[in-house]
Amino acid sequence: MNLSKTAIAICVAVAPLAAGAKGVTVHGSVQSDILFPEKDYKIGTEDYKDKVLTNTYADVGLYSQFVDAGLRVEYLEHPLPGFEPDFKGWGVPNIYVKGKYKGFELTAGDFYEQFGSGFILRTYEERSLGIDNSIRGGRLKVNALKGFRFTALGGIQRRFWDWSKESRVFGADVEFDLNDYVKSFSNKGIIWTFGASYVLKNEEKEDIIVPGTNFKLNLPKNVNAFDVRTHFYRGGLSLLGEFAWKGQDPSFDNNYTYRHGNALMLSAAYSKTGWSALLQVKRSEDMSFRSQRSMSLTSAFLNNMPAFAYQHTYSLAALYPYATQAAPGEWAFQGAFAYTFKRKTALGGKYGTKLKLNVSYIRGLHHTGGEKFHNSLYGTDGGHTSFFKMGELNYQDINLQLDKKITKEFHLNFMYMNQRYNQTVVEGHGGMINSNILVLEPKWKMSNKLTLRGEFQYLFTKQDKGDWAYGLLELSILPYLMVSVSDQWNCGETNLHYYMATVTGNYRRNRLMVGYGRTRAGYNCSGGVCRYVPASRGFQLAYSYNF
Amino acid sequence: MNIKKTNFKLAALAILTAGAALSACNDIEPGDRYKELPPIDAKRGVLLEEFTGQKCVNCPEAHDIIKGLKEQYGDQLIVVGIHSGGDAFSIGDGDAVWGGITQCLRVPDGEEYAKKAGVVSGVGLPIGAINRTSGLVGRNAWSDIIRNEIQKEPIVDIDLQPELVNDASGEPTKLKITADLKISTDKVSCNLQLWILESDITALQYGLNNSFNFDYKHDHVFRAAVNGFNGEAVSIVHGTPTTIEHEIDLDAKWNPENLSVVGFVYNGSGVLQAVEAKVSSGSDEPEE
Repeated sequence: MNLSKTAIAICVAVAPLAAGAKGVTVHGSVQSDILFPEKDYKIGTEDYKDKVLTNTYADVGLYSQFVDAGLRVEYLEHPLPGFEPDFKGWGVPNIYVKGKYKGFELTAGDFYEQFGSGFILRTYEERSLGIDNSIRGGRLKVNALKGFRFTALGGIQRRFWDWSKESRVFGADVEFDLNDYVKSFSNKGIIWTFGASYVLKNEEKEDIIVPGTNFKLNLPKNVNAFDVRTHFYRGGLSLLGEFAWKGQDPSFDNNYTYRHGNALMLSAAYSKTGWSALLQVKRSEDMSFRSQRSMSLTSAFLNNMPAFAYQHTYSLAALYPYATQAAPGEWAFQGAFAYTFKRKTALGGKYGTKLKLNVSYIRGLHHTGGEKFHNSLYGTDGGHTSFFKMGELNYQDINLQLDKKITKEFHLNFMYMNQRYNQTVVEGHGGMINSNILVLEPKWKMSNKLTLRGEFQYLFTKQDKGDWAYGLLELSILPYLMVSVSDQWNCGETNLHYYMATVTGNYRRNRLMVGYGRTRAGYNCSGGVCRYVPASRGFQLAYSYNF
Repeated sequence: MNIKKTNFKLAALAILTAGAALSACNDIEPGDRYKELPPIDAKRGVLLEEFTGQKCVNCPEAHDIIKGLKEQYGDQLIVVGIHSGGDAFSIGDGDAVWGGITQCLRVPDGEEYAKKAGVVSGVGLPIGAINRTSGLVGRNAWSDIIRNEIQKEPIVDIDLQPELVNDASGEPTKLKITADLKISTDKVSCNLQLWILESDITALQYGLNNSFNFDYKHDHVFRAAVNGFNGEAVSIVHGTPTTIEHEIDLDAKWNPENLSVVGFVYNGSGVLQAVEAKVSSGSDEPEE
């Protein structure tokens, strides 16, 4: 804590001076989410010891021609409900200094980095999930040569308020633009990039005993991971191929088996005026890569497998969100097609109509059991997995969205979605949930200052808690205010209403939301990574300020 | 191309190639993956409080691990399965779409023990606490911690005698428990906790791959605390054995033939000793 107090003190002293200095800009933000929780046994809230719960973040950065520096203060001592127990704490978990000179960039401190699509390295911050897996150490980025980028890094990884010295991460990445060296490519407007990365995790051994026996595992101290990729662009066409491979990485996630991990992804996208299409496929197996092999839940991940399920924003469409199954592996397919019916055509109407079709189809891998050691998988290769044969259905989502401006003042969005969600695979219980969802979102611009938006959603299902209905009315009073009321009603089974009323104000760089209502227990997902959020009720405040 | 630039690019590619080569050389062959540990002297009883649930799909795996550990350590490993939280059924549960669920293994005291141990939403089940000194640990760590704990010299000795008491018609209605405590040091202040467990309960258990096993056998399930939520305070003096007696009514849901009693003493330093005794069939109600 002394380091944190010193860091804050330095910053408070230096920032105003820096801001005054020539060529130095100061940027930062404050974000605070506050809940005054109330017990509500009907919806199953926890018992709360605290009267106020908050997740508060404040960060500041100084930027100049040759040097950048920044830090972030986090106050999570009484966090909002549903975060892991080790999430609690406060201090300055992120502080860095960056030197830049002629295409060379050297960072010391805490930093985030992603290699390729994140198959072997992706460190990022996602506050709603309580994820911050930054690396504390050093990073060198070289962008001094034409069409050639090189990154090298090393350090230890953050896990909440801990930086384990028993585990170290090193990585290198190189990217090469072929079009900068082959004239005919650049003449034809082709961009063709090749990339390769390498990550090494070095972790001290620990005692993992095969249960029920007198044998302990000979764990590898080093885990190597490798990634190659190529990306081709021309006109509206984009093609991506990426392959990653991970060495023996026995961990809690894979039952301490010694099989190698691998991932393959192929993606093709095309866009032209009026329409666009995307088709991608990914097969991944045993690609859960952590800096601490015995960790569980959402912390200490070094990599992040990209989500292949459409990320919904409508609340009932996001009722059953899919979490990427990195450790067991999956076959994932995703297709998207968008088309704009031109204005003044039969289907387009006066202003044109946009149509979007999205399909996600994800299945597990086909697994056949292998030899066990004294009835345990520990130390074995974990059986055999076919390459092409697929296992059970994990998730399926087919949705059709229509976006139509009917008059100058009136706009309509419509969505139909069919979803199959394997709750057992994702959450650990519940079986397959089949649902059909309808959404209607009208928007009416009443005047220059007033806009009224509504959302009417209905989810049909025979499983889990049955049908749900959702209604929202939101009035925007430009330029400063927005008022909304909503209710999510479980008409199928519990008959519970999850009502919410909020008022949001924007003034210059400030944003304040004040609300009261009930929040349903469920999963909050972002990019295929999910966090369980328990039910809550109470008065909420969300404040943010950017400078 | 500039010589410097070429060298730099070659160096970068060399690092990556070396990495790729290393990746292949690092593998540990199947024959080298296990190291046999020297045999140990199991000196004391170790308590494993296993927080579990009928809806928890990874819990059957934890139960398999426990079976292996029980085979290894026998009576010296005392396991208590405490059903709690969102993964446990409640009577009349909306999730109980199976209809007629007769066995819901959650009890209010078990919920409180789980909360006290730190099991809250955000903590995945199954999870366990060993001798109340390990904190909440995942099942991969149980073997190692139990192995270390079981070699420690105990300072308390517990002799537990549970006995069923029959009513006039010869049916067991009560359980009489006698606990004799002795110590090897001068004096110890601690709490004695007595719990009733039941094994061989047939009840629904969820498992991996969407499996629902209605014939699952649940063992060492926590049923009730005999002498209060935190047990009772005892002060044991060297040379003077302490005897504690309790009698409780049997719950109609329990099967007297499958009951056992767990007795353990604990204080700020954790669980000092733990024993489990199977309930023996009863004697008739003594005449007044």
